[in-house]
Amino acid sequence: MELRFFEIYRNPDYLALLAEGAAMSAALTVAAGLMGLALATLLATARFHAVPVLGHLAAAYVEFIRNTPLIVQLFFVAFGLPQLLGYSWPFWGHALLALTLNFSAYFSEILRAGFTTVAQGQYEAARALGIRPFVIFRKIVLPQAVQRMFPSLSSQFIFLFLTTGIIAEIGVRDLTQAGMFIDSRTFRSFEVFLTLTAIYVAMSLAFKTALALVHRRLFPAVAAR
Amino acid sequence: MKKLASLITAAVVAFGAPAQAELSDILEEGVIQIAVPENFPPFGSLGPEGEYVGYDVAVAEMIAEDLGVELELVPVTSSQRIPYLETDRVDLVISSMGANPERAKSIMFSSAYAPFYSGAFAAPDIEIAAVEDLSGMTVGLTGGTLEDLELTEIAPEGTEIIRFGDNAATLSAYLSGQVDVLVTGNTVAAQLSEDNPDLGLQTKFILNDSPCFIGVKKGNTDLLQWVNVFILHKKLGGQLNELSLEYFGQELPELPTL
Repeated sequence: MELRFFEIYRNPDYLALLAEGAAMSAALTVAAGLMGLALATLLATARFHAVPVLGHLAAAYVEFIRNTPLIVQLFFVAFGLPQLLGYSWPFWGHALLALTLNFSAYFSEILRAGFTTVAQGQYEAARALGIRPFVIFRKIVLPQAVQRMFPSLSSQFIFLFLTTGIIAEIGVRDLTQAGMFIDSRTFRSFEVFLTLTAIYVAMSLAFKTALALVHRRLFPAVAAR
Repeated sequence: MKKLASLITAAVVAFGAPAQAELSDILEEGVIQIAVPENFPPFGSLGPEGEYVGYDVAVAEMIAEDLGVELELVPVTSSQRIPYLETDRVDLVISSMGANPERAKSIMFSSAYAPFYSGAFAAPDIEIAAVEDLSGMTVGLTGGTLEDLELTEIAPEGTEIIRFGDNAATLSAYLSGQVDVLVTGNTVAAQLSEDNPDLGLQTKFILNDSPCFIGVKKGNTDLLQWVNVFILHKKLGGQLNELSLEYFGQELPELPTL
């Protein structure tokens, strides 16, 4: 079998497609990661404090998301919801929503585990000092939970990044779709998918490095140890 | 780079242990593996009896019969076609595949064996009559298909082409109102219209006819030669015309010969 990588890298159109696809994948993953983390914080709080009704709803939501395939969620968000509710977004919008919902369920379980690591005595001490519940959460519980769970959140984030290739199915021009486009034109499947592999590995390592920097920035004391 | 390439090749060879798919080997083994579309009616799809049916499947059956060997159908998606051929998991790809010079650098194509009609379909209130009118429209199609290759070439500036992963996603996108115009095979559109009469789906224009070719692995020249004789024989004998009437509802048009 001969490998002809030059059919990809000698063609400026294909290189531009791969670059745009990689940018789209990275942008959607980062945006969905941040929004998912925000939503996860709400979900984890509702469950951890057993907020009436909301806590159960959050639990049901997390179980639903974690027990259905991403592709099913994606099709539901992209083709089902718009029909039910009568709206239409660009496809990257559907993908962003589906990824945010998906990420939030996984992140919320990690955060909830983080909340349990904060010793009960700290709550009691804070309440005895008359600190308001929101401030206890914001200044005492959340920072410790995020700090302890940062490695888990990071690896979950990178794992979820690698699942985003599936959004190509609904027509989003991400990295996987760029690969499929080039493959269907040139029929150089092995070269195309080896190239995609290399780009995904490089991007995962870049995310890992960036998250390590964020970790050091947010928690200098822990990172220095 | 050369070294890396040969290492990878060695690894692939070690894992794949490819069987040679030359004509004499197929005859000796008594079995031919043929890739057909897993879900692309009327070319190939799962029939009501749980067996694969369609034009491509019928052609595959005729090939096995004429070779005097047993047929093993391998249902594939469009992105699996070439990897399966390259790794010798199939001997032939009969899967509504279009030919172009770029693809021909990677595999060998037979003479055309089937017609393919694709067009642009939309609701009555979408006013388009030719490809130039697509500017400003959102067009949904399945990535990597004949109509994708064709429309990408000729679409005017400002056309937003959304390429879905498979036929089912493309149709879902159209049905849920996510794209203005559907570009697909005319048989697919006819089926969609029949299932959803209230859509009022209209044929807006027909894309250039781009017939289908059988794919053969590079280097298997005697198999390719045999396939070409087979196609010529079935065209002259009228069997392909019968299949065309059965699956497409029209006479077989003039097909180009390689």
